[in-house]
Amino acid sequence: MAISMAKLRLQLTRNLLYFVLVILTIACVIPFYMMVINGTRSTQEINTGVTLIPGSNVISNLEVILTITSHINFFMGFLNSAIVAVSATALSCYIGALTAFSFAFYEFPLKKILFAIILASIMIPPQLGIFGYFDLMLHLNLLDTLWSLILPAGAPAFIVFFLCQYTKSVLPRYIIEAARIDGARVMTIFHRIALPIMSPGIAIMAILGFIFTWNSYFFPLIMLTSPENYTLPLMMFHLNSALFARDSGAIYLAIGLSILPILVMFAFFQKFLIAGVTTGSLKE
Amino acid sequence: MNKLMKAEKSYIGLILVIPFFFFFIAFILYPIIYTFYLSLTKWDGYQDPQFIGFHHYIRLFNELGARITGADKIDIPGEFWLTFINTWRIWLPNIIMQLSLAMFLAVIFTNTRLKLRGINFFRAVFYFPNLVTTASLGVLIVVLLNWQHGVINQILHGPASAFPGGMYPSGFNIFTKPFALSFVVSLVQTWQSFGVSTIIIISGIQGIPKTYYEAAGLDGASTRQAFFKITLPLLRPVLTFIIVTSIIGGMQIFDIPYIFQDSGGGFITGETQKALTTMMLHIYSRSFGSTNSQFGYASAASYMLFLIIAISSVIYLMLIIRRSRGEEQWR
Repeated sequence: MAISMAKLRLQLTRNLLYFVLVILTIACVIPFYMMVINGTRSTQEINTGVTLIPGSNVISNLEVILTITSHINFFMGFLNSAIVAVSATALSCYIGALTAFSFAFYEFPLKKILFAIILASIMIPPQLGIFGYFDLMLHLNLLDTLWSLILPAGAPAFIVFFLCQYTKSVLPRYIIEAARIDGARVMTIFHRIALPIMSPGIAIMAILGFIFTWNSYFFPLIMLTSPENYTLPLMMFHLNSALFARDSGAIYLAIGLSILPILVMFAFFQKFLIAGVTTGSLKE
Repeated sequence: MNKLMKAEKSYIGLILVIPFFFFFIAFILYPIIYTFYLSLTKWDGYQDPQFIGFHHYIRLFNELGARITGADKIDIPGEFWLTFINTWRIWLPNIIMQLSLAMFLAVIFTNTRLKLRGINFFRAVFYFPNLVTTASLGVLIVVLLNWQHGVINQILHGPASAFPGGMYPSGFNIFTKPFALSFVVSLVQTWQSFGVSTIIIISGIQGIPKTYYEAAGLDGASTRQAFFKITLPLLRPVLTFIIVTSIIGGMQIFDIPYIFQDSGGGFITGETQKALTTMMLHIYSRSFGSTNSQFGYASAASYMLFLIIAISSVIYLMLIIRRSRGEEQWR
């Protein structure tokens, strides 16, 4: 009797917790669901009330996004964001892997100091140098270009730190030694042996880096001035100012489109992403 | 032969890290140092910077002193410290809500008696808001909260057909309520990050050896005692990590308040606008966001913001060092 009471209580607690979890799930999903629903409805429909059933105005909302803002081309923003995110990710992962490879397998003068500098720079918020960076870009004639958003990716301190730990754990030193004795050149060892073995770790960093760059708002806001160079988050902001209170349907649809790539990445790489969160936080 | 190989090694390792340090010095370190130089100048962005020494810093510290002693009401405005308070007013409720929620979720997910199912699903769903473009999220929240046609107001008032003219004909306009709007920003922050914190705490709890709990169980400890005497103390480094990274991010919060301020359809003015001005927004509005730019002052304010963040990071590092020393002693 006592045992069954305990079981009953456990079952009740469990159901209560599931209820809480479902509420939280709804809280996490409903804004995006409303976004999708309202993106398919006309502004008149949206203004008259809430519904959970999609409308039939996707095409006309899309037309609004494409036409009403003749000076801002929404899909140009898509392209700019893609260029920046892909280049920055590729640059940071390649240099990050190369630097991590060197720190993991070679002895060289100043090694400890240089690694300490890298560790320290993880702690420094990139916004600190924004005014100096603005001035530098001004003098290099790179203001208002996508270059200004890509170049800082060449010094990815966190990726170096992460991949250095990772490489040591997945790539045995004797493989490198063996290749070296066979007369392989350093870059050949890096490209043929180290990179392929490091690739799962690089993938985690690449996915997180891509999303981080895709979402970045403050840097583009300061660096870019011409609408044709705008990245997607900037485009969103201007689209909202242009359409606000006039065409909510189109705004909802634009928001949806702007986070579509994130949604796709999340669907495919969820496991990598969650692994990235835990490995980044537990420094062992 | 051996010497030759060693020499080759040292030379090659250094060459491999050159690209990194080239980018680092050119695009990270130099701008940071140059920003410090700018913070010692008066610069409007057009003419050459004019060196004025520590003037801006002295002013910022004077304003801090005035704010603490209450003299700011008389003559010194002390705007930076006002925005400091605004930033904390957004961050503090957020970290409390975020940590409590994440702690609760992590504990029930790892509880071996409850054996909840679908943990991976919930974990992924709770993590998702963290990945979504904050700018888009800001716009989404603005349209959802719109006092005339926003979904939230529509739900609050009921369907328009049921209540002709609405229950509140004027609508509940949250964009005119400074404290409520700050709290909305806190809620958004919590909503964006509780999933990540949950994942981190779960892996922290999984790192605690099971034997501790078994021993506690043999000694007759209750679940609650085990939580407060084992789980919580051993999670301290993990919690510190979450809090410090949250401080670093939270002190620099910009996207959501900026979008709220500028795209609330012109509804956000006066007190509400002031309450949303975080430190980053203050720095932005004094420099790039203004026609009368004060880059020198803004640079000094950036360094002040960094100082605030650095103090927290140092505390974190000290805790980590103390922890690893403690572990060495155990072995």
